[in-house]
Amino acid sequence: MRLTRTRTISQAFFLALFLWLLFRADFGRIENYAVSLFLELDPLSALATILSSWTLYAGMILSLIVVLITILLGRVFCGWFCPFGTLNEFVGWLVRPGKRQARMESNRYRSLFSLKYYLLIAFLVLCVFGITQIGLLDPISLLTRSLATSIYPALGVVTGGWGFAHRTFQTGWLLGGILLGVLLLNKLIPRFFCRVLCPLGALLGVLSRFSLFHVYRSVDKCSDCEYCLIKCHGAADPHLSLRKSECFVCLECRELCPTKGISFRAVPPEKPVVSPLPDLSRRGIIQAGVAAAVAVPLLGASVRPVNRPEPLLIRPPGSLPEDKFLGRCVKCGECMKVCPTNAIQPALFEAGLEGVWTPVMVYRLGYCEYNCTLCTEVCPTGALRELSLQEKQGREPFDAPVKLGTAFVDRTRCLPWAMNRPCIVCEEMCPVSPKAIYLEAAEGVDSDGRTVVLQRPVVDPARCIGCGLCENKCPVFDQRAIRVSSVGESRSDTNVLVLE
Amino acid sequence: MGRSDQTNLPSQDVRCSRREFLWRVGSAGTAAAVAGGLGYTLHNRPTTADQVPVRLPDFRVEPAAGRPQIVASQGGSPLQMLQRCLEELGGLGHFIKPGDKVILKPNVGFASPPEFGATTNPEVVGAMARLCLAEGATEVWVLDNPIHDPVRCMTVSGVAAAAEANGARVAYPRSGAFREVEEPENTVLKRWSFFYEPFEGAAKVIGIPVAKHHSAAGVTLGMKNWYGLLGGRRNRLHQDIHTSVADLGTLVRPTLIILDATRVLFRNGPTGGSPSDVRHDGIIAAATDPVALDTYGAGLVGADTSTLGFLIEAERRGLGTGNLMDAGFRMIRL
Repeated sequence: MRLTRTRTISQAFFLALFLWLLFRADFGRIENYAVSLFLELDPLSALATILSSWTLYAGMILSLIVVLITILLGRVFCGWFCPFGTLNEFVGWLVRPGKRQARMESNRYRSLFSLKYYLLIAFLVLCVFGITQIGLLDPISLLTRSLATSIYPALGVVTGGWGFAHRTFQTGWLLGGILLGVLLLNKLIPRFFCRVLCPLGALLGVLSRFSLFHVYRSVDKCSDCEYCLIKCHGAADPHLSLRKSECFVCLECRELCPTKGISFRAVPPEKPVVSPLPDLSRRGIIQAGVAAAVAVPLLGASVRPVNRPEPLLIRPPGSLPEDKFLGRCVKCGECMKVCPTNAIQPALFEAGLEGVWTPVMVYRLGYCEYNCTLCTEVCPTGALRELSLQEKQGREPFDAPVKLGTAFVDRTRCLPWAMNRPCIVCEEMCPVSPKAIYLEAAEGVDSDGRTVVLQRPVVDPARCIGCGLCENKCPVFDQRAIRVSSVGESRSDTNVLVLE
Repeated sequence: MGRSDQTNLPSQDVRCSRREFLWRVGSAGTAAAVAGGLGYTLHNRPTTADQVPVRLPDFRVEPAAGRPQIVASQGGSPLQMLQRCLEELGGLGHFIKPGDKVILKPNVGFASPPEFGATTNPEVVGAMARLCLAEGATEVWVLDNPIHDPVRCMTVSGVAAAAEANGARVAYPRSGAFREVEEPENTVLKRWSFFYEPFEGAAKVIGIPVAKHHSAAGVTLGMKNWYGLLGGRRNRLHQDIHTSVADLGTLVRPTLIILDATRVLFRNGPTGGSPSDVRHDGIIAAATDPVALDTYGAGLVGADTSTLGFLIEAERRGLGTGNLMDAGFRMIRL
């Protein structure tokens, strides 16, 4: 079998595996599947969280596999395994130019392609300051997030189920639109994202400098026909001095060469047919780093949740303190996918500029189920620390439950407080024992002057865990009469309320 | 130049043939008729389609002659206690006939493990499913429209596994599974969204509530268990909970009610949250009279049955008797 055929099969397999594992990231189907496998294999997320936290979390050690493969073979990850690369490849193939000459032109190297290296530098400099934004463009995070919060739910709308449980996400249209927009860029330049934007590709491009294997063009056999450009995935100049850092090792050039002058082999001489380093200028590198460094004090001078808690910024259980959380979260959306109640939502600006698309609990839409710890199990980077049920609920040997915030009764909207009508739904729903909402017996008068016996809900802030079930089930449907805010959250030393 | 050429065309060129004339007048006429017809038929149509509500059938069967309307049993396995109770009521064969489609409605309202006592004991559900199938029922469906996510509830409670291990199937509430159900005799539940799909073609309905404390209704037992068949914005019902529970009793007329008091959630209900809220009574009761069953269960939970509004209202409506002696109550110890 031709190597390029093998590559296509590998691409299809890994894309299918990716889609299937993400489909499995659901309470009813997760069993023991490694649903975060691709995120854990991602060396960029690994490096980013190392720089921001100086630890390599749990399964992220797997990313070494990709690092080692790249050091041995070059950017094969981009050409053979990356699910987003495959998707871009497929869309680019659908919209490819018709004429051979036009295809060759579309696969020529452009200086624009060095943008991804500057983006990588800027992102990594931010990480050093604890601001992890790599997830905005990291292909695995971007694809996971877009599918989880937009494309899979859209499939649920189209199919009416089929295992795509009907979920809705705030700004889902934007998240899905960005993915489709990125895919459409393939019309402009084939594999636009991979060649121009992908910071993971840039990282692997730098690592491929060491690769022992590479594409080798025999200058003696080359007839300068440039046919190798017809299908070149990376636009790596196989007809000139191969840009090792751009080559996806798709091996199309090897198939296409009419004189069989191109081969893929171990430790061939690099000179004069290979340029091992990315096309970067020292000046550009410094500018990218400085630009990122300038953003740090600008953010520091802004009001942001790191130093001033936001009432509606309620993080999922197991979340680290906000600064450490932002250092680790890669915005992959795996927690949003797995949450059985749809409570975990992608933030837009409610968590500040750095918090775009990080997970936030929206209790109007869902609640944190008492007997569930799924989000903490799937988080690939430990932004949500893995919790046992005992720890979450504060049972032996733990002495306090994990609190996400505190519920507040809005006495101007609550039926028994404001309107003298009976209702106890929040108390009924409260999952802790003894209940954090108790009922104060009272008598009121209705509009006919008759005495009504009432039970008015009162929150005990020492017992409330901020799970939001009361808010979610409150019959005052539009703006709930009991609402949770972040004060009292276990993860913060400053956003505290009760004297204990 | 071109313009003057067109305006000075020879006269025979502006006349059209008879065939073309008829064809064009015909198509213009048809287009006008379609536009006019559409406008006429769509003009001032009601903006919302009104769904025709259905009545829920009465699933009761005539009690066996000379048998009690309620019995309880204590001290055996769930299967043994169930079998003894049902024997006493005249045998399950009196209620379930070969070919019946049977609905079992346990209380699986929360994603809570069985030991917390917030949901019906899965062993009781499994045993009941097995007994129904042994009487020749063709299908046994276990269902609830719970408070928490349905899949989580059915799984965490262990009810789905127990049902499936004993040959029953679980029906999950999809949005398309609900229909408007009407009951003109009711006060608040005159017309309400109902988990109706599994009831199509069902011959028998058996409620399997768990005995629990509830801060508004005092207790949540057999009649309140039907709350889990409602859709819509049902948490408004708590504004008049006793009338609502009595309405549920009027709406759903079951074949049998099995009370699971193997565990009794005697405080902090209906969610529980700690095994210390649970008492292990090891009791199962079976009844054809929903008021008698709830009266007995309320006593187990520790409520004052003489003051429970929904019991008083249900008895006033003639749904059953709150006098356990009249219902022929017996306790069988195994």
